[in-house]
Amino acid sequence: MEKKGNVEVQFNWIFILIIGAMILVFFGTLIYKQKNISETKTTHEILSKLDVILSETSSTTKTLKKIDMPDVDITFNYADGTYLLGGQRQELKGRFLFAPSTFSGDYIVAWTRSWNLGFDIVTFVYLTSPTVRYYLVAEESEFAVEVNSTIERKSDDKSEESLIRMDLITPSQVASLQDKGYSKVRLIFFNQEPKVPSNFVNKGKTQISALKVVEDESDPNYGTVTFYRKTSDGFVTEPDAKFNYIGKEMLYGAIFVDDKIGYSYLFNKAMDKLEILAKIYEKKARALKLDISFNPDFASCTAYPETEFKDIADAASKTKRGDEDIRLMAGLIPSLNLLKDTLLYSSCPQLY
Amino acid sequence: MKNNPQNKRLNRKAQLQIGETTLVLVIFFILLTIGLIFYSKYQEMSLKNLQEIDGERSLMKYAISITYFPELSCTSLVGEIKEGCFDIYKIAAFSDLMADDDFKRDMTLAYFDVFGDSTIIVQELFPTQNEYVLFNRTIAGAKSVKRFFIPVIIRNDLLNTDAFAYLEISTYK
Repeated sequence: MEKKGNVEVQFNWIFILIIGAMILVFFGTLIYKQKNISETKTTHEILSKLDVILSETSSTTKTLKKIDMPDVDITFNYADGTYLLGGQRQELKGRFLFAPSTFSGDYIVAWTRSWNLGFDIVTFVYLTSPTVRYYLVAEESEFAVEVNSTIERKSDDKSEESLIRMDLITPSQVASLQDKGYSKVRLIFFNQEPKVPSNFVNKGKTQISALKVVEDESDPNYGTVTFYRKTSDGFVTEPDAKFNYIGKEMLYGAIFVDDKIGYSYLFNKAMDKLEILAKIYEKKARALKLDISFNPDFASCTAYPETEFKDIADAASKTKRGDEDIRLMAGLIPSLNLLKDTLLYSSCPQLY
Repeated sequence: MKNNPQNKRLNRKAQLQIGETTLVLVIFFILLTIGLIFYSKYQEMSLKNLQEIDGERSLMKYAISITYFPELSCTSLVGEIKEGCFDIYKIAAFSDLMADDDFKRDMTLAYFDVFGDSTIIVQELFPTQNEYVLFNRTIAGAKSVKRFFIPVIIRNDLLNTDAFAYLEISTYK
């Protein structure tokens, strides 16, 4: 009887242990699932709000917006045309978002500019955060001064806070740059080889990258940009990391995107848009010429640049394939603008 | 002692009580598990609904953004885009390029990112009636079709006329 009693008591304890463990596992699973669902819901809400804001921003130009965010990582995967927020994926959907590959912060900053080569092509949106620091490094470069003054720092809400953390410095100041705890530092060197500041060599968590800008002497709207990444040997680049830019807006894009894949992706998409738009204007110019031939009121309106737009479309198509036709394209822009003015002064129907 | 009938009865009673408790607990857990399954299914469904609503909202935003496309919209003398106004020459050229066998693929590739599986048509209503197909990715046997209509103006700068029209956007899932 005593032995049986002992077995019963032991059995009771084992029984309580098993049931207790089951209850713990059960509620643990419940809490874990609930946490996952609520996290997914929150991330989804943030992502969809951000998506709507970015879509609205893409329709407006020359704006600087501060978008409050929870401190989650935003990662851009230009290779597959998506961006990730808190693990959830969203497609770029044809928007031109120039952003660092990964960034976070209490808020993100969206600055927009229309890519305009005499005619509007598309709105570029530049994204950054207060955790990213930019330095424009130049020695007496008017172009660098112009770039520095064009990039807006403060929003229209009269806030004194500088939203885009960017400064113009001389090459001699690079050596003394301090690691102030920014998650990313991007150095943009105008017409000179990039050098790693001594305070950033082999220490700190800050990711540092560089861009070399060489503008064309005759036309600063055209030039080349080379992407550099930091290694233990200093800044290094690859042969396929050198690209063209046409228009300052594209140069700003190279400043805000910190890897060659991102720039290459957006550059090719921009060339697609330019090709389409040039083909549309070529067709419009042809149709207007034809319609005007039946309308004596506009007899003097013969300067519609059909051939010029055809050349731009061809050049954009070749540039995508890697041929160096961007110089030809850049050369056509001033003559297009001249023709536009001629048509405008003659009160001809507008082309663009 | 072993054969004491009173002990045997007590033993059986205790076994019955343990069995009863176990059964109650098993039923309790089965009910709890069913509840959990229903609750998580409900949560998943509400999340899906939320995603669908957001999808529609974002689609509306894209639809509105079309009216700002430089390749379709009218521009002022200083080159500013006019909201809700399409240039007749541009939409005709865009529609032609979409139908052009040599360029159709490039156009579809360039705009599929933006429009996805959808059909976008500009219907001119007054004074003349015309139809311009801007994008066409019709999915045969689609589970759902959603349509949006946005009123627009079609501007002809040469004739200095405006026509009433609407933009019809159909999306397929």
